[in-house]
Amino acid sequence: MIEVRDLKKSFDGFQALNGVNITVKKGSVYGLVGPNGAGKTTLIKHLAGIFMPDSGTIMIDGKPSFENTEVKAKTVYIPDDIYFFPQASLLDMKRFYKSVYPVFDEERFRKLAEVFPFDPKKTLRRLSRGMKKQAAFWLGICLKPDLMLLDEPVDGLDPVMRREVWSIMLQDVAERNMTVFVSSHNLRELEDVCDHVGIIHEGRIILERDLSEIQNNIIKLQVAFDGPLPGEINELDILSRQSSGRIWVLIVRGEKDRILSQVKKLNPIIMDALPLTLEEIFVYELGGMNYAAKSIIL
Amino acid sequence: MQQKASSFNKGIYFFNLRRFWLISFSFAFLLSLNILDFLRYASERVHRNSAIAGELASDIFVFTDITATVMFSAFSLIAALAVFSYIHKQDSTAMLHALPLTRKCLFITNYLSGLTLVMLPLLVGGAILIAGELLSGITEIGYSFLWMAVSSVFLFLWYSFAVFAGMFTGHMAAHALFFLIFNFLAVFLQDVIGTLLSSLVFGYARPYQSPFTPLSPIVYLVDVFLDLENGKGNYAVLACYLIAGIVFTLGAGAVYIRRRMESAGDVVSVRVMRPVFKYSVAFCSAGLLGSIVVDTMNFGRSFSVFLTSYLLGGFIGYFAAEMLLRKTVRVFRNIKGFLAFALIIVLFLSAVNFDLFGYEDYVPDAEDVEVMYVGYYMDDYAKIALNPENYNPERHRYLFDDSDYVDNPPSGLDESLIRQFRQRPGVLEEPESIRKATELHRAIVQNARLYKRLDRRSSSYYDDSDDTVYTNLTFTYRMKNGKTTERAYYIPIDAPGGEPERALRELVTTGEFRKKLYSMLEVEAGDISLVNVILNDEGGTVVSLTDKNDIEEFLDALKKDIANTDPVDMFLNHRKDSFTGISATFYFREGRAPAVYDRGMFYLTGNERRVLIWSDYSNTIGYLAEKTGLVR
Repeated sequence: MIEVRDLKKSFDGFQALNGVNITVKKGSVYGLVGPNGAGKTTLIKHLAGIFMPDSGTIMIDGKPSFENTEVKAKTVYIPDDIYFFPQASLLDMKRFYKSVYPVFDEERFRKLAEVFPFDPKKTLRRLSRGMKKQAAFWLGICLKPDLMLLDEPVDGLDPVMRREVWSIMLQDVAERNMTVFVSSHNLRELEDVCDHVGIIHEGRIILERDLSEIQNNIIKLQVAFDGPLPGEINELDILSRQSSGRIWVLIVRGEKDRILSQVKKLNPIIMDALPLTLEEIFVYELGGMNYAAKSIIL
Repeated sequence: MQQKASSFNKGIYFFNLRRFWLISFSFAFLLSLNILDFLRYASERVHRNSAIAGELASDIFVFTDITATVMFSAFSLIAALAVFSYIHKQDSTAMLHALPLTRKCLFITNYLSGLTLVMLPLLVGGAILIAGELLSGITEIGYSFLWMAVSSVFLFLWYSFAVFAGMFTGHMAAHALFFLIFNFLAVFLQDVIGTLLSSLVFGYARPYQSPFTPLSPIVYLVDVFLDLENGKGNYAVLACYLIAGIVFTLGAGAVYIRRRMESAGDVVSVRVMRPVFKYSVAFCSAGLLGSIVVDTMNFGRSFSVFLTSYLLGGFIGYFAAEMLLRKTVRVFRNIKGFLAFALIIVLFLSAVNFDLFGYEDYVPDAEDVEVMYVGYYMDDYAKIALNPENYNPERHRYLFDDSDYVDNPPSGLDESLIRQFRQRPGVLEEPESIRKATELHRAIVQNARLYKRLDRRSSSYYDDSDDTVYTNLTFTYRMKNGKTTERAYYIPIDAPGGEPERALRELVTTGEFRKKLYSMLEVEAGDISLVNVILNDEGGTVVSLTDKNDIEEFLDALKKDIANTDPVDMFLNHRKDSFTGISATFYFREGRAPAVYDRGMFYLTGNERRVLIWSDYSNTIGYLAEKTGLVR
C-alpha cells in the first residue's frame, strides 16, 4: 500500500528525514514510533501530500502521492493538532468535506452520532481537544478511506472513547481492508492494534518489522550463575544488562531458542525468558542508538 | 494513471463566500454610503439646474477618489488575508493540503473566492449608482460604467498583489506589511533618495513630478480619478495596471504551487527572498533614520551625522530582519553581512558626498542652451515655457488668462502660445541673458564651499546666527538637444560684495530679464483707457485718470519708480520699503493688458490690472500729491 524510498527532507539546514524507507502492506495497521523530533510528523505529512520531498519517492497503491488527487481522495489524515474553520460546526465541516471528497457516507454519519456524544450543531472551536478529536474521527470514518494516516490519534481521548475509536477503525480494517498508518507515543496502545512497527530515529527508520517478529527477536533474560557472569555470555547480542545480587536481567537480541540453548550451556542456576513490551523494545533499541533513558538526580 | 484533476472546487469557493461574507458586506455598505452621498449631492444640484445633469455624472470620480482608494486597497488586502489565511498556520495548511485537490486547484479556487468578495460590492455599488443617477434625471451613465471599469482594474491590481505578497510569507502580519510596503515603497524611496541627494549634493534639484509615482498605485489612483473627472484618463497606465494585476496573479500561482508548506509561520517563506528581505529592510531602515535625523536635527547637513544615522538605521534594520527570519534575538554573532552592508553604504554615501560623478561642478555651456529658467520657484508656467510638450489641456487649463481657454483649453500649444508662456519672468531665451545666467550659476558652484548646506524651503529663511537670508534659486536648462538639466540651491545669494551677488546683479539688469520681470515697463499710455487710483485716506478716495496726458504722466512716474528700485532686491522680493495703502487699477484697451507676472501687480479681469504703490515710489507719490493734494 505504501512504499517510501530514500525520502529526504530538510528544514533550514536541519535534516528532518534522512533517507527514509518503509513498506506498509495493504490492510495492515502500521505503527510508527520514535523519540520527539525523530521525524514522525514530517513523514506523515509527506504521506498525506502536504510536504514536498527534497528527494526520494512516495508511492501509495503504486502511484505517487504528491499532487495526486486520486490517491488523496482515498486517504484521510488526522493530525495531532486538528484544524476546523473558525465558527464552523460539525455539520458545516460535514458539508465542506462532502463538497471536496467523492465519497461521504451519510448513513455512517447518522450511526456514529450514537458513538460520539456531542451536538453536531455546536461550534467546534469551543470544544475540548478530545471532543475535536472525536469530531475528526467522526468525519474521517465517514469518508471511507483506503488509507488512514493518524498522528497521535488518541491523545486527549478518554479510555472508553479510545477503545470505541479503535474498534470502529479496526472494523474497517477487517471489512474493507483499510490500511492504518499511525504514529504515537502510546506504545502500549500501539502494541494492541498494530501488526507492523517501524522505529524512526534522527530521520531514519532503524527498525521495521512485523510486531510479533520483533517481539520474538528480542528477549528479556533473567539468569543467575554460581559465581560471576561468565565471559562467554558476551558472545550474545546484549542490548542491556542489570544485576541485583547474583540475578542478572539481560536484554538480548536474537532468536529466542538459540539464545536459550547458548545460555543453558553456561549452567545457570536460574534461567527465565520473558517477552518484552513494545515500550521496552523501543527503549532498548534506541538505547543502542545513544538515546538511552538517563537517570538524572536533581 | 492519474485522473485529470479539476482546477476549481465549487465547494471551497462557496464555503469561502459563506465564511467571509462579512468582508463583502462591509465593503458594499461603506461603498454604498459613499455613492449615496454623491447621489444626494447630484440630485440636489440637478433639481436646481437640470441643464448640468450631464456634467455632474463625471463628479463620481471626485467624490470617490480618496475614500475609494482607501477602501479598495484595504478591502483587497482583507479579502486576500482571509482566503489565504490558512497558509500562515501549520494546522490549517496541513488540513487544506491533505484534501484531494491539487495546489493549482486550491490556489485558483481561493483566489477567485477572494476576488468575488471584492468585486461583488463594486457591482452592488455600481448598480446603486446607475439606478440613483437615472432616478435623479442623470441619463449620461457612461461615466458610471467607466468608474466601475477603472475601479475594477484597481481592485484587481490590489487584490492580486495582496495575494502575491502573501505567497512570500508565512506570517499574517508580514503579509499585510508587504502589501503596504508595495503601495508606498516608490514614494518612500523617492523621498529618502531625495533627502539624501539634496542633503549631500550641492545643487541637487528634486524632480517636480517623479516617473516612479505610478509605482505606488495607492498614491497614483487619486490622480487617475481626478483626470477621469475631466474626461481625460491615462488609459495606458490603467492598461499597465491591468497587466501588472495579471502578472501578479500568475506569479502568485507559480509561487504557491512551489511553496514549501512547512514555511507557515515564517516571515519570509521563499528561501531566495530572505537575503533580499534582510538587505531591503536594512536599507529602508537606514534611509528612514537618515531622513528623520536630517529633517529634524541635522540642519547643517553634516556628512558625518548623515553617515552615522544611515549606519545606525542599517544596523537596526539588518538585525531586526535577522531576528524575524531566525525567530531569535541571538543574531549578533553573524556580523559579516552587516559589515558588508555598512561598507557599501559608506562607499555609496562618500561617492555622493564627494561628488565622484561631477554633478556639483557641472554648468552647461551657454551656447548649448535653447531656453532656461532662473528664479526661486519654477511654477507650471515656467515648466510649460521650457517643455511645451508636457502641456496637458486638462491639467493646465488654469494657466490661461483667457476665459475661453479656461473653459475649452487648446489641445496643443502653437508658437504664439509658447511665446506667451516664455514671457514668464526668469525664462530666458536671448544668448546674452543665458550667458549671464550661466555665469551666475558658475559663480555659485565656484563658491560652494562658502555656503552652509541647508535644505531647500518654500520661502526665505533668516539665520540670526550670522544675519543671513537664505533664498531658493533654481536653474533649469532646456538644451538644444532637447535634454533638461536642473540645479537648485538654497543660499545667501545676495551677500554683498561676493562674486555671486555681482553675477546676479548683472543678470537681473539685462533687458530680457527686466522686461519679463516688470511687464509694466512695456506698457504704453495708448494701451490704457482709464486709471483709477485708490488713495489711502479715510474715505478711500478714488482718483480717475482718463485724460491721455494724465495717464501718460502717471505711467511715466510709475515706470521711473520701478526702474529706480534695486533690481536684486526686486528679484528676490526683498523690499526695504512698505506698502503705502495706495493702489492703481488700470483698465486696458482690448487685448493690450500685460500678463500678470510682475511683483505687486494683480489680475482682476481680462483687461483690468491692479498695481500697488510702495513708499519708495517717490515719483508716483509726488505726481499724486501734486495732482490731488490728498497724498503726502
